[in-house]
This record gives sequence, C-alpha cells and structure tokens, in this order.
Amino acid sequence: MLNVAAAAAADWHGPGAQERRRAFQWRTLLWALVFPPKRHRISLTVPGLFLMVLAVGIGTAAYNTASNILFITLSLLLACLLLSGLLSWFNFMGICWRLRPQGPWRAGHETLVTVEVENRKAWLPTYSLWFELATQPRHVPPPEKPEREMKMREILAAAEKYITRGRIFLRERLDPRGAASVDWGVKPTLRGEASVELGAVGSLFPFGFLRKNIGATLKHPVLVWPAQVEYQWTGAVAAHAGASGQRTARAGTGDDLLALRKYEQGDSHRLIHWKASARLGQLMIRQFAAESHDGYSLRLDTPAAVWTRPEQFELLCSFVGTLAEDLYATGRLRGLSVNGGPLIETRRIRDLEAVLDELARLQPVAEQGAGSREQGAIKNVITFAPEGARGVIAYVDGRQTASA
Amino acid sequence: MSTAVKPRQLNLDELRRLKWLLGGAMALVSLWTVFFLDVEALSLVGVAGAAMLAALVWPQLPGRVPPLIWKLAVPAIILAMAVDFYSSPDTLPVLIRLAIVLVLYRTVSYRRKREDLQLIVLAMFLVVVAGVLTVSIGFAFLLLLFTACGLGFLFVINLIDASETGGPRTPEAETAWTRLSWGRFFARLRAVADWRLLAFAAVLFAAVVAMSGLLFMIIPRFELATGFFLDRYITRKTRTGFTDAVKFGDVSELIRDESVAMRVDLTDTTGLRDAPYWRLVVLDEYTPDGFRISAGLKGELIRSQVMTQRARDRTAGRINNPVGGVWTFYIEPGVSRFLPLPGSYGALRLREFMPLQTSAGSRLAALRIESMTMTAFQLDDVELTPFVKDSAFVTRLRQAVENPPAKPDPGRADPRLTLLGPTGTANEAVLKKVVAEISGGAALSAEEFTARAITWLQARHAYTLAAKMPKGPGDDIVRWLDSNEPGFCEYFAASLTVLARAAGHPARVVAGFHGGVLNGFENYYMVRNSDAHAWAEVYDGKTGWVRADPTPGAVATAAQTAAQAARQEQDSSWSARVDSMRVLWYRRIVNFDSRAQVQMLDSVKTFTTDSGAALRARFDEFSKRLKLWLLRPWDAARFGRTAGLALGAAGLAWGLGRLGQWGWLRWRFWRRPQSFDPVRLAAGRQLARLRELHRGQTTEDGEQVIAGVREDLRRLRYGRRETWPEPHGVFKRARQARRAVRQR
Repeated sequence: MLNVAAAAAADWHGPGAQERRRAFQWRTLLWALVFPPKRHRISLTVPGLFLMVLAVGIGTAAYNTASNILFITLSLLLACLLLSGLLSWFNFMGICWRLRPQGPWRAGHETLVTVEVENRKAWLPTYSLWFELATQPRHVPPPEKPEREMKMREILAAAEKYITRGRIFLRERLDPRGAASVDWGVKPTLRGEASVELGAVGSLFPFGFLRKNIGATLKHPVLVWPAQVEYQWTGAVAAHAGASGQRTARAGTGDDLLALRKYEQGDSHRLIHWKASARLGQLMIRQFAAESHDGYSLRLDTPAAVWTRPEQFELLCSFVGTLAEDLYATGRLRGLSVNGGPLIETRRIRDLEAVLDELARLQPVAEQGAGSREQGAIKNVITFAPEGARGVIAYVDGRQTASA
Repeated sequence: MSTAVKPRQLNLDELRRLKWLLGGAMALVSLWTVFFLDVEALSLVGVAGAAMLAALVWPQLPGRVPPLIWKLAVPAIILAMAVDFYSSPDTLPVLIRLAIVLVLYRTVSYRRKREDLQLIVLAMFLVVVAGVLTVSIGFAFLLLLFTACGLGFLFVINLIDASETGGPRTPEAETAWTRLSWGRFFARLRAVADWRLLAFAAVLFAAVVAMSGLLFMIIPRFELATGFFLDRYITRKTRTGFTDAVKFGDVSELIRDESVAMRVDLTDTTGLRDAPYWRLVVLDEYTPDGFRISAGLKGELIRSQVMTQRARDRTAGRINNPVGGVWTFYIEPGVSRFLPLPGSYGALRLREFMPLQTSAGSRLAALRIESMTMTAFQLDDVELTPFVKDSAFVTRLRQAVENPPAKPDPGRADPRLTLLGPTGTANEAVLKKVVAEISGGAALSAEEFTARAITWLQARHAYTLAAKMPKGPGDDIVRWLDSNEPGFCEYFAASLTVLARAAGHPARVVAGFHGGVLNGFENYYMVRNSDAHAWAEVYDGKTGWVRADPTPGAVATAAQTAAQAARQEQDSSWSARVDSMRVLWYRRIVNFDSRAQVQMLDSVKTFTTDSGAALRARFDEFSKRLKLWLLRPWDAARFGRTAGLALGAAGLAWGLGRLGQWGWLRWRFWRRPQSFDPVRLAAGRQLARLRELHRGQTTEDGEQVIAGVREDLRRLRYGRRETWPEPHGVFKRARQARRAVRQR
C-alpha cells in the first residue's frame, strides 16, 4: 500500500530528516571530520582567521620562549576552535527543512518563498541559521550577440542576470522539537517555468569563527505567470454590436440555480438547500449562476513568423493574461484558445489559473494549428496581432478593441 | 481568555545588555591580571577599574558624554602614549599602560561587533602578558575566568549578529537596552535560563579546559637555544635585598615578610634532618655600611658566564651522602638573581638555555639578570655539607700577600679582602681587645677560634628582631660588638667575620635562607622571606670554608631538630594546602618541558599497561570464583537464597529508579509549578512517539489505528482538565497502538 506518511516525510531535507538514524560510529565521525560530506563546507570568518593568526603567533612565541604560559594560552585557543566546531555540529544536528513557495508567481510581482525548519533534537536548541535561496528561469533567453569580446566578469554577470539570490536568517532560537518558518520575498523577472532552490543552510554559530555551510540541493519547480500590463480598452461598442453573443455560465448572484456544493464556513444559512442536505447527510449550499453577460473568447495564435520579436511576444502574453483576468473579474470571459487548440472554458477561478498557466508556458510555434470545429460558431472572439515593432492590438471579430 | 506569555528568549535589547555585562566583566578580569605586575600602573588600574565598573553598572553613562570628547579621546590617547614612550625607560610597561587605556576606552564606549572583537584582543593581550611575566597560579584562575567570559561574550555577539534585522533604527531604539533596569534584566535571565542548557554549557566549558590540558600535554616540545622574552623589556628591583651588597638591616626587614620566597620540591625527604642553609650570596668585602660582593668576585662571576642549561659543581668531588633525590627549586620573582644552593651538588639544570654565572670557590650560581617570572632549576646529588672546598685559596692568598699586584685584577676575587675589617685605631683597638678576650692570648686554629668567638658573642649579645645600633663614633659593627645590645643575624655574622679577620683567619659573610617548612600535602619545602638569614664562613687554613652560624638559636640541638621535623610533618593547614596547589601548578604546568613530557608519556604508558594487566587479573580471578561458585552443589535452599538475592537486587534497583523519578518530578514541580504537569508531559511524549511512527513506515491501516488514540492524547496534552479522558487508559491504548502498527 502506498505510504502516505513516508511521502510527506520525503519533503524534509537536512541532517534530521533521515528516516532511520544510522548507528553512531566513531570511525564515520572521524572520517567525516577529515573528509567532510559532499557540499559540506567549513570556512574561516575574519575573526576566525584572526584567531588562527593569533594562535600561530602565540605558538611561535611559545616555542621561541619555551614559556608554558604561552603554550597553555595556545592550547586554550585551539580548544576554543575545537569547541566551536563541536557546537556547530550540535547546532546542525537534528535540523531539517523544506521549501514552500507561496503562489501565485507573477513576473514583476513580489511573492514569498517559505522555508519551514524543524529542530528534531530532544533538548538542544538551534541558533543563528541562514538559508541561501535562489530562483532562476528554466529557459533563459538567448544572449544578444555582444559588440565586443566579453571579459570573464561580464560573462559571469550575464549568466547571473536572470538568477535572483537571497539569504534569509532565522533570527530566533529554534527550541528543541520546535518548528519555525522564514519567508523570502522574491520578484521573478521572467515569465515561464522556473525553479526555486535552497542552495545551502549555514551558520556562524557559536562564536563566529567558522562559517559552516551544508549544501542543500532542494529544488522546487514554479510557474511564473506573465506580468500585468496596462492597456487601452476601446471595445465596449464592439461587444454590444455583437448580435446575440455567448453567455457565460459561472457562479454568481443571479437567479438561476447553477449547482449545489458543500457548505463552507461563512456561507449564508439562507442558501442552504435543506432537501439535498437531508438526502446527502451533509449541508449543501445552492449556487446560482452569475448575471448573464456577453462573454468574450480569447483566441491566441502565436506563429513564430508573426511574433518575431521576443519583447513583443512577452508583451502579448502579458496583455492576454491581464485582459483575461479583467474579463473574468467582470464575468465576461468565456475561455481561451491557443494556437487552434480547444477552448479552455473559464467557469471557476481554477480555470482562469489554468489559462494563466498556459500563458506562462506559451512559446511561438512554427505553424498554426487547424482550429477547432466550434470556433466558427463562436462570437465575440478576441484575437491579437502585433502593432508595429513593440505594440500588440486586440481585435473583436476583426474590429480593434484594445491595445497595449 | 488568553494570557500573554513572554517569549522564553532574550530579545535584542536584552542580548545587548548581556553583551555589555559580559564585555565589562571580561575587561575587569583582564585589568585584574595587571595587579600581579609591577609596572607602575596601579593608580591607572584603579581609575580604569572604577570607570569600567561605573559604566558596567550604569550603561547609560557613556551616552551622556558629549560626542566631542569621544572624538578627542583617540588623539589624546595617542599623544599621552607618545609622551609615555618618550619618558619611560622600559617598553613593556608603556605597552601595558597603553593596553589598559585602550581597554578602558573600548569598555566604556558603546560598541559594535568590530569594537567588541577589538576589546577581546586588547583584554587578551593584558592577560597573556601578565601571565607570561608573573607565572603565578592566580593567572591560571584568571585565565579560566577570562576564557569563560570571552566565550560567553563571543556567543552573545554572534546571537546579536544573527538577530539584528539590519534595518535603520532610531537613536532612541539603538540605546533602549541601556534603560533596562538590572532587576528586570536579571529576572528575565532567570526566566529564560534552562538548567539543561546551563549544565551543558558547564560541561562544555569543563571539556574545553580538559581539551586544552590535553593539548598542552601533547603539543610537541623542543628546546630552542635562544629566546625572545618579554621580561627583557621590563626591569624590576629585587625585593629581598639579596643583591651584590647587603646593608645592615636589609635582612631584618625581610624577616617580617611572611610570603613564600621559594619552594623546593624533593623527590625524597627521608634523609633530611637539619634545617638546610640555602646559600645565595657570598659577601667578601667589608665596608662601613655592611658587607658586599667585591668587584673582583663580581668580575669572576661575569667572566665565568656561559649560555647553558646545565652546570656541574667542580668542588663537589666525590659525593658521600646525597639526600633529597632531585631538588627542584621554584623561586618567586624578586628574590634574587643568585640561585639558592643548600650544599654541594652533582649537577645544576635550568629550564632553558640561560646565561649562568658560577664561582667554584665561593660556590655561587647566578643568572645574569633577575628574572621577572618564577625561576626554576634542579639539583642532583645534593650533599648538605657545611663545608665549601677551596684548597687553592690558601695558595692564592699567600701569593697575593707576598707579591701584591700593582693593579687589582678585575676578573678575579682578591683573597686579601677576606682578611680586611674595620680600620682606624679605635676600631682596631676594640677588635684586638675582643680577640684577646676570646683567644686568651693563645694562637688558636680557625675552628677553635670560631667556636670560642660564637660562645663569646652569644654570651654578650642576645637575639632580637628589633635591634638598635648603639650611637657613637667609630665603625657600626665594632660599636655593637663592644656593647651589650641585642642584635639579629646580620650583626652576629658580621661580628664573627670581623673578629675572625682580626684574628688572622680569612672569613666572609654569607646571606640566604635558613630552614623552611615541609608541606604535608606535596612534600616540598616552603621557604618564606621570614627565613632569610646571614651567617659566616671561616677558612680552615687548608682546604676550604667552614660554615659558622653565631646567631643564637640558629643551630638546633638534636632535640630541637627532632621537634622541628615533627612539626614539619604536621604542617597540613589550609594555607599549606593552598600553597601546594601552587607547586602543582609549577610542577605540572609552568615547569613542564620535553623531559617532563616524555616522563608523562612513559607514566601514562606504564599506567595503562599496569591497569590493563590488573584488570585482566581481576577479571580472571572473578571468573574463577564465579565458576567455583556455580559448580558448587545446588540445593533448594541455595537456589532460594540466590533467587531471593537476585530479586532483592532487582527490586532495589527498581525502587531506586522510581525514587529517582519521583525526585526528578518533584524537583521539576518545585522549579516550575505552573507549567509542570506530568500527565501533559507524558501525553506530549506519547504524541512525539506517534509522530516518529508517522514519519516512519506507517501504512494507512496504521494511520487508522493511531488516529483514535492520537485524538485522546491531544486532549490530554492541550485540552482543559475537565475534558480529559482517563489518562492511564489512554497511555495504555497508545502503547498498544504503537505495538500494533510496528507488527504490521
């Protein structure tokens, strides 16, 4: 049988996330000290480096003078360094974390990535952790041909252009068997598939001599919706001019009963469908259709031959996404058809999200599809075409209705 | 209704206050170490200490100082130190004063992370320098205290570093921590203190100390012939007066000082019967102010100077009766540059290569300069003889008398000086009269004359510490000799010397220590400054110098010696115990060198081998006994007795366990009566165990099994007491559920 709990547990990463703890072995521990596990890095901080230099200086003086006071001072310094490493090890012991990107992700808009941390130690707290996070698009636009040969620094800068990095700190003590979460505010720059990655978890605990980093290859795919853009809507006349048009069928405050659904906290008691509730043994709520409006269908064709400029194509996606959201908000969106594909109807918010997901993944295609059979019958279809080198125009049944 | 619960963590302001407290404590500890140093900075230390204490107690004070003063402070410090460098003859005291001022500046001003680290380094400089220059056991204590404060300080700095949001803060918010009251702060500290963490910190600190001790012992040692030592950059005056010249009254002043001047560690104290005479200085030249080392003897010492770690006593010859095994001397700083020698010896070993001056005829050993730190050396094959062999002296004296050199040899002691005493007709007349009184006009041997002179002196003069020199014309010592005034050792020794010289016997004054107390804990001699003594040595006319101590009561009778030995054995007072710690510090830490390291490794090896063998032997013995016991015939009574014993032991263990658990629960209840509830705690533990199952291989069946009991456990853990199900039943069901899930 599928192990549900194990699947949830697999979410957690870090030293404390192991299902079953391995038996402690001195050999393993000593070897780990000599040859740390992969992606585990311990480096000296400036105070740590100073401590080392001080230890070397005192050691030299101790040998030069044979003064046991200096030898004992040297021993204390080295013992402090060892203690620092030991405490750092204790600090990371039993710690596990997982990544929770909060949605939705939209280009140009700030969103949150939550890192949840748990301290699974029985009685030792954990202090001063930080998390190094990064997000980057899956497909990076091809770089423009440089006018001159780039230097290594410029090449590296160009590679980092689309990567957003951040470091968030766990500022409070994480008590034994305690949990905490820290948020990272990030503003994705590009539409499309991206990943958010927890690169490393680090700490300067306890004395700030050593910077210990545990590399974490924790990746989470996210989908960045197109950015919202401003556009000019001039199509009110065109909509009314449509003869009968298509009516939307979605939940709203109209008179027609659309469906029944389960009771949710906050629903008006007047809407309870008592008969259905009695029959089904649970409270059911009547859901009415929204007031009927003339609906628009968006038809998006993205032949590469038409949308030659990447900026213009991005503007198209943003424009379509924004228009779709605005139309949905006013109850006038019927659906979206992309490159001759079937119409994705937008009755619920989830449908609109599916539309935006589709837009997030959209790329210019080599050839346009044949189109569905029903498209011919659809009225109030908004189509899009480039305007000049930068703009995009939307047409309703061939008449210009909006531009961005 | 909910009550606001204060978080069990210190907030940023409280952490800053804690940092201020720890930083101030660390700085005060570092300042304390300067008290051990004699660097003419005590007034500065006093002022700095008072300022630091005031800033520590009232942290808002630095905020009231005008910013201009803070700006001018650094240039003022630089200027003052430049003047100090210019006017002071020594470098190190100036550096120490500079460090004190900088520590003061950093302690009383508000600090950020960088300044905190500077404070640690400055304070550490003071501690290390004080330790190197004093080598006192107090340093060990202060170093531990400093380490504890420093580690705590660094820990808090790191916590603050992690807690700071980095956003801009108003000046009000920036200094909010200074306005916390101490009472509230300590109450918060008490509230957030977790005894487990405190115990863990204590264990870790003990581990650091143990680890550093281990590192100290295993750090490879090798000796370097040349050294850069801090004490070259500081000069110090001898406290004891055992220098090149001893004026009348020097030793008597010292006798009032009860502090320990040196400790002598013996590997074997059985052969010691008489109180030893520790010879330090030989004073061969008479002056009206007192005796002193002649320029020739000084030149002889300088000429003999070699950079060495080992010297032999050329006059020792054949060792007849060595006592004490290896004698290790730990001489406190400020005693003398001359090394105390209790008699003839086979070899003298220093801790490191040092310039050593020796004089065979006078049996003197001296360092070039007086050490600022404790001086340690060892003697082998020591023979406590009152005789210093110098058979060449008589030849040299005859040659010098018969053919007096036109110009004195600066690198050789003039033997004629040992015959010169007070000059002047009146002085000579008194001396002649006294000598005639002692000898009765007969020509006595040196030995006989000395004995009679001692008797004469002791009959004429009593011993006192409050001696007064009679007023009048003429030489001081002759005047005293001619009077009936009581005197102390210097007067007696000087009188005997001038009398012997007047009688034609070469004589000299020797200064050092006499006696000492045997420590009952660690078997070593504690020689105090109050044991300072002076006596005379008279040449026997043929082979060498014989000790003659004319001070009344100095030479003990057999009964007195036995009584003294008994008293020494019984010296097990607290002060002796405390002093024995100091010798342990010297033995194990300060005097630890490559030889001691090898010895220690050998002893560790022997100990482990021996204890392993002993353990094996005990185990074999136990196995044999067990086997014999098992092979003995078993009957019902024996079986019953054995079973009863086993059951009794198990019952006792169980009972002790329960008692411990009960005590533990009582203690926790006593500590936090509001938050302590054993049922809630037990429910929390059960829930945690269920969570472990949840993380593990739990199937959906298992989920169903534990879901019911989990609800009840949550109610016990978090719910109101009135809604609780019966706890024992719930815990039992939880155990059963866990077992059932594991079996699936």
